[in-house]
Amino acid sequence: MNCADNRLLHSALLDGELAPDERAQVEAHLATCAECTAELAALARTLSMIHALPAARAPQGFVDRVLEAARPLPWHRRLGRRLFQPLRVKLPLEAAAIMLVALGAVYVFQNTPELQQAARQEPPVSAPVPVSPPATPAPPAVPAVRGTPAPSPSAPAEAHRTAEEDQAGKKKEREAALSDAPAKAEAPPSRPVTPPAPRLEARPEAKLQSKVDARKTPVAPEGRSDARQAPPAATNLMKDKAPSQSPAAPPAPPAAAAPPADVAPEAREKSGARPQSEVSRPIDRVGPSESSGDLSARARQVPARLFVAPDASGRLSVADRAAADRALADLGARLGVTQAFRRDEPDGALIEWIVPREVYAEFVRGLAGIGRWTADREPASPPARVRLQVRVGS
Amino acid sequence: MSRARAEGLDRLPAAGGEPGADLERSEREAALHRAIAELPEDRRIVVVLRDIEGLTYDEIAAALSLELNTVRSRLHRARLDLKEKLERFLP
Repeated sequence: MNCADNRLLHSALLDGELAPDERAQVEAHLATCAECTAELAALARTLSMIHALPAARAPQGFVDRVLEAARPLPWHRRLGRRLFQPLRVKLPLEAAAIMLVALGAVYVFQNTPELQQAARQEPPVSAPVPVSPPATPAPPAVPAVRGTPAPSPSAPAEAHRTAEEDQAGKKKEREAALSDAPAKAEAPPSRPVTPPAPRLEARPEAKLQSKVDARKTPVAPEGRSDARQAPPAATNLMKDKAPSQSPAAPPAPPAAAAPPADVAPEAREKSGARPQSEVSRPIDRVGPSESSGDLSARARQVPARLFVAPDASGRLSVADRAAADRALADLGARLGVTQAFRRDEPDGALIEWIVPREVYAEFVRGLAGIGRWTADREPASPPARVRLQVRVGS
Repeated sequence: MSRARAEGLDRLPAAGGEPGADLERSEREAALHRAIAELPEDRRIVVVLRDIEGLTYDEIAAALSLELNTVRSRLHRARLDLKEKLERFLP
């Protein structure tokens, strides 16, 4: 055995892993070879140094990782672990995310009218079904059609009654008339038995009623303007409306009543399309300022004059009210503008003029010269006589 | 984390020991760790299994599906590598 072969077995010799015959051969060589003996000693020292090393400790979770690699968990447990495993971290995070998504959904829903409409579409489909059958049959229309040829006995009585009641009662009656109006409009084609003359009368009446409904203004000028087109119906209507008008508004100045009657046909074309809120706003303005007086009388007086909204309106802020009044009177006299109505209130005056179209622009310029003029409403194309309502205040 | 901490703690001087000897010992251990880590994979594994884990040659051969003689020669070459690298620490 040479030295190289001998040294190959040194490790096994130190470990006691040699077969007895091999071991005898190696030891026999070592006894004769000093170099191999020194080599073996060096290797032994190296080994002792390695063995002195403290046992290595596996990193935390090493065994678990090895076991997991060797025997994989079923997929659902792995999924659950991945979703929730650090329970204290992931659970609050996931709850917060769900809350955030829910709040976002509510926010989007509230800010998207289309979505709300889509959500609301279900109830209206079922709701009209029970309502519509009683509305379509003829019976409700019969009294209405028959009533029109001879309304004079019943209608004035009704009008008198409303004159004594407050506006709420009047409103109710108007709603009743309104519900009749579509029925009347439908009635003539559905009932050929009725004589032709009443049918002609019924039609303008129905038309008028629907107009009244659209503006909610049961004003006398309206009736007068229709009188030109359909005399028989209008006379009935005059009888119907006149009693309610005359006792209702005795304190209204004649100047205020007359000019609107002239303007009405033109004003009607414009104001008919105006939204209800604009039409009713003057009442709100006037109402609280009047502290005394018969409530019901005032309630009817105000709509009679103001329900037809002015063609133009604005506010005039002046330093000196008395001086402004004089200047306004001068301006009106110079341009030939008539003052239609005036109401003095603690904080200002509400004045209405009937301004001819030709001088309207000049009149407004004059207003601007008197004080600080703020136009609330301007007519797109001024009618021949513009109703201009100005609130003069300091 | 744990391994780094374990090493760090192990290198702390033992109470009552000589500071110089402790320093040398920890230096030697670090060199030994490095030397083992630098061994080729096939040699490193037999050294670790034999000299650190204490397995017998037969067990190593079975675990690694090797011939007994292959285990023997690989282990011997690995130890020679270590001896060469740790020569300056040897007494």
